[in-house]
Amino acid sequence: MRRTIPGLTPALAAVWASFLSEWQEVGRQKLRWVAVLVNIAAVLLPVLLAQLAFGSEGFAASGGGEHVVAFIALGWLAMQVAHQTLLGAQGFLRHANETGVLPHLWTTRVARWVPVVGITLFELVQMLVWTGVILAVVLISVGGLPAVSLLSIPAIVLSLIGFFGIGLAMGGAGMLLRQWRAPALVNGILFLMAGSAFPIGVLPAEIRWLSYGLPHTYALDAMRHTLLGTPTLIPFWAELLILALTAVIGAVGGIAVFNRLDRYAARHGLVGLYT
Amino acid sequence: MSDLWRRAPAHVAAFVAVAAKAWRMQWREGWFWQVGVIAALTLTVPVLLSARALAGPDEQQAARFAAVAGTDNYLAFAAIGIVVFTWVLTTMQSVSIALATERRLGTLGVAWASLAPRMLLLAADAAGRALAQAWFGVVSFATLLVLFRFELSVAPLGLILVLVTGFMASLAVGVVLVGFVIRYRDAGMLAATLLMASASLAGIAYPISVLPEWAQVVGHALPLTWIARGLRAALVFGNAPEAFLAAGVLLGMTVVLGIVGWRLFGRLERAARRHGVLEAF
Repeated sequence: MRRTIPGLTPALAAVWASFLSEWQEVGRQKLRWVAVLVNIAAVLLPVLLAQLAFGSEGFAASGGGEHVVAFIALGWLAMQVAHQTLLGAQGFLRHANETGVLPHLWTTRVARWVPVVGITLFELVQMLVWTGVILAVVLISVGGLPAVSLLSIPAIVLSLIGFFGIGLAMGGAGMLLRQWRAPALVNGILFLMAGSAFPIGVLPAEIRWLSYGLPHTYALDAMRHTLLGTPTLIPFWAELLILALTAVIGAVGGIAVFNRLDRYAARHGLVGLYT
Repeated sequence: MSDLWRRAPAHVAAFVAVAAKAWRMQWREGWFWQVGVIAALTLTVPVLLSARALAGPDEQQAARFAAVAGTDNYLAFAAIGIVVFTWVLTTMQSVSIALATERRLGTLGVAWASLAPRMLLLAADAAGRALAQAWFGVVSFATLLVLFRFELSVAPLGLILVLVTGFMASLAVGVVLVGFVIRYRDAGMLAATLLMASASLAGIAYPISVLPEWAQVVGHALPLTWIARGLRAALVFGNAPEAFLAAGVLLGMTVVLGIVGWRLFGRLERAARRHGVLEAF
């Protein structure tokens, strides 16, 4: 019987191997890193210019605090992480199917979700580079991080685990529905409703309830609170509790859903099929 | 030259056929409608909500915005900026995407054997794709109008002229870029990045008067700046003469960029064939 919970050493080896594979495939392209840096500038510079036109007083009164660029930079970064974990698994599986290597990959002796995690970890390393750049921008724009708290660490870690779990489930669904675009649509809704670029208080009251139902909203809010000192939507401990629950449900549920959909795909002859 | 005119009807027919094919390929895809919705959600609505947050709960900062932008209708101002940004940038890249698609599908060699001018085939494919992008732009703007209910003051003739000349100028930029893409494969990503970066100089959700003077001068050399300026004149300020001026500048840019692009394409395409990278993917 195939093991669903791998031994630690082979699992780490498989994660490392898939990480290196993605590095060889994608990460070595120097132009890609230049493009990433220019894209960060292209996202944040207009924010800075809009702040020049409006001032920051209105943003603070709307609940976003005075540091407009830092607020939006953190939101953008967190949603990029959510985006990569949502789409990374599905994108990898689709690409592996297209190039015909998925059946071979499936014969490895570790659980099948392990290499997928390795691939998305590569995306996470990219995020670390982006984080460094964005932190530099934040430091310059606000003259130092205003209210950094160590509580940001559990907030970030729990958010990441939850994001990865949801991404695994999406990846599994992508094996069944090979040209599935739903993750992109979900990502769009998350980007809008979690308040990545604005305090959610500016959303119309009729749809704001949807924001309160998304764990991503609390992830962003907790990160901003612990790094920028913005006020929280609900008590901070409650946000951490929501993130912890999301992490547990996301990780356990994500692996379970992935395994179930993988078995379904294998039984129905969908692994290795690309049409 | 006489040969070109003699074949003109056939070339026009080829252009229409290829453009129609590209358009059909776009809208018949299952993801066509999804992409439109996703683009609206991820790109345009957040920008307007950010503008609303910057203006403040009682729009107390709208007066400060009006002092630099000339209008306190900041929602319409930003809506035009972000929709133009998405529409124009995708249109500018459409020629390169047409080329990349032919390469990926392995059909570039067949297309190149056609009697029609090669650039015409690429431009036609790009025009078909760009029409799909224009449709997304219309849907996005209509969505913003319904959601945010901002006021418009329309100068219809100026609006049409700016849209038509803006579309042509964007395609002309694409013609300039495609020569580099056919010769240097990495140029596609670099061009997309530079286009995105240059958009900061065009005033997306803010007037370009907040930029340093040197940046304003550079910004006025970009078609994107004039398209946004012309559309704001035609939709926010109701200023037809300003829209006509923008359309005139865009027409001039189309001619200059089109000629430069055509010549560049000829040279770089020959170089690509000499170096054996025409169909390299």
